[in-house]
Amino acid sequence: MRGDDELASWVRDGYARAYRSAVLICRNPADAEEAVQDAFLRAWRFRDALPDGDGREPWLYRVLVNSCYSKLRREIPRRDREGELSHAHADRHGELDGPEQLAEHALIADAVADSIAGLPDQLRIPVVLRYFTGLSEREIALAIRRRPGTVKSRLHEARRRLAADPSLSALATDMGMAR
Amino acid sequence: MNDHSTVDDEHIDALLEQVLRDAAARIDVPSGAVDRVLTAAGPARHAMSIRSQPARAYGRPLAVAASLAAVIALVVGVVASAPGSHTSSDKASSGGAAAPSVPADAQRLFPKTAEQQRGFQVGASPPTSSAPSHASGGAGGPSGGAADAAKIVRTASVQLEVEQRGALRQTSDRVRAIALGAGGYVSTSEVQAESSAPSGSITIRVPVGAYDTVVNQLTALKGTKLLGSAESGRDVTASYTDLQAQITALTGERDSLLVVLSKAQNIGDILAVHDRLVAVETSLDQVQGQANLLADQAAMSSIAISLAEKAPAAPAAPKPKHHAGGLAGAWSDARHGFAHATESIVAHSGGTIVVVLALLALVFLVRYLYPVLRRGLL
Repeated sequence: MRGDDELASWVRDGYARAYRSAVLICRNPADAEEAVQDAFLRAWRFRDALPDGDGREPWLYRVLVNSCYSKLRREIPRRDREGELSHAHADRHGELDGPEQLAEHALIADAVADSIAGLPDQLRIPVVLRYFTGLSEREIALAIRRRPGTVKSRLHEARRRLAADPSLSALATDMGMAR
Repeated sequence: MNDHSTVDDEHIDALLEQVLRDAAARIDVPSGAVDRVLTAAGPARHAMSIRSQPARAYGRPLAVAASLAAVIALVVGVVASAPGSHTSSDKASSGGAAAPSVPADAQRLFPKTAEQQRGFQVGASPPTSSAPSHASGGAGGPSGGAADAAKIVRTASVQLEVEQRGALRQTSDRVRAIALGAGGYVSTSEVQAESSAPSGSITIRVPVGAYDTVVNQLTALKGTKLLGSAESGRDVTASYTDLQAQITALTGERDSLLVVLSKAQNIGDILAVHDRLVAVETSLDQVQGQANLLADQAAMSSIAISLAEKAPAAPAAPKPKHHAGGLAGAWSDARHGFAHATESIVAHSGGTIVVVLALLALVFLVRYLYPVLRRGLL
């Protein structure tokens, strides 16, 4: 990252994805915004130490995950987080157009809220980084400081649990993905 | 109940991507958040690298820096005055040659960084690290086959009876000699040879390669009888490998931070990087310590030996009296019970009960016996 506008373009390009990842991890929009800001600033501060190319993304998400972890552990009890995230989703339902679309999105929202929020942190974070953020298992390993094999096993366990989740199964049926 | 009976495996990935994408799409990105990040970045936005950022960008007031420098100077003074400090610094300077260079200012400010750097490179193994599996120090990462080899923690316990009276000390010396002869050492030893029932317990640590030989020697130790033995083996390979992976990752991060530190030129930059560096090195210390402990346990087997002299032939104990049954037995029990109760009362009441009884006897004499005697005399 060199030049005056590099930080601006980097933040503009990556902020939305990082923020949404942080909300899914922290389950609290305010914490997520703080974590993302902290992650970008730290990553920028140490940009000379960042590896070039693909390494920059895991580095950013490593800092982001660390910030989220610290907030998950220290600041707000879990029950409050879950309530705030559900409330944030509920606020958006009113902006959808038709009743069918609203129902479909509500179903998806419920399925995601139940399934993702029900996972423990060590499973939820790899799931978010893999299926939303789009990091590879190796990049996730760098981000959460674990071996790729550990990431693989955690993703497997998360998939196993989610596959048995009734709400996700209902969603799969609705989308024609169930057996 | 947690099988994949409802969702196909191949569909789970796509389903998760879909639902997470939809869920994320419904998460509003706060308006102006990007601008807030850029505002918070402040002068850093225009800076080419960390070394040209003003110290204020890191939020480190000058007073904090001055206080920290004073505390560190005090610690340096204490360390410098401690015995052996020259040796440590000499080793630090030689051991840090392969690491990223740290500016002289940073080394003066944070001597512990160089100290810890030496620790990572030469390893923090205990003195027993001469064993093969301990030779994996370099740079905190696994080195070749040593790290990949299976790590089995083997322990044993042996209970021996010393057959000859008075030979406990001699036997414990033999155990010690066996340990030393195998390249091990005595970890703990407690021998009570002069007591009425001489016994002792010795724990020895021997190289894992000599474990079987030592156990065989102990179980066949001359002048002793094997009363019992137990062995256990715990595979810690997975834990050790995981720790090594963490060490590698932390070492890489530390090296990156050292590179950044080497480019920092003002106190604010150095403090900012050092905060993170200290956290990483603390984690690295902890993980390294756990790895060293596992390596030590795997390299040096622990064997606990219990020694006890054979009990001497007991002198002919007085033959217990035949316990009478029936009324005679009941009478005997009653007498013993009364005696015990009386002893107990006297013991618990101290001298009070004796005084009370004496006074009662005197009253009895005055009240009943004296009139009789008086009538007889008259």
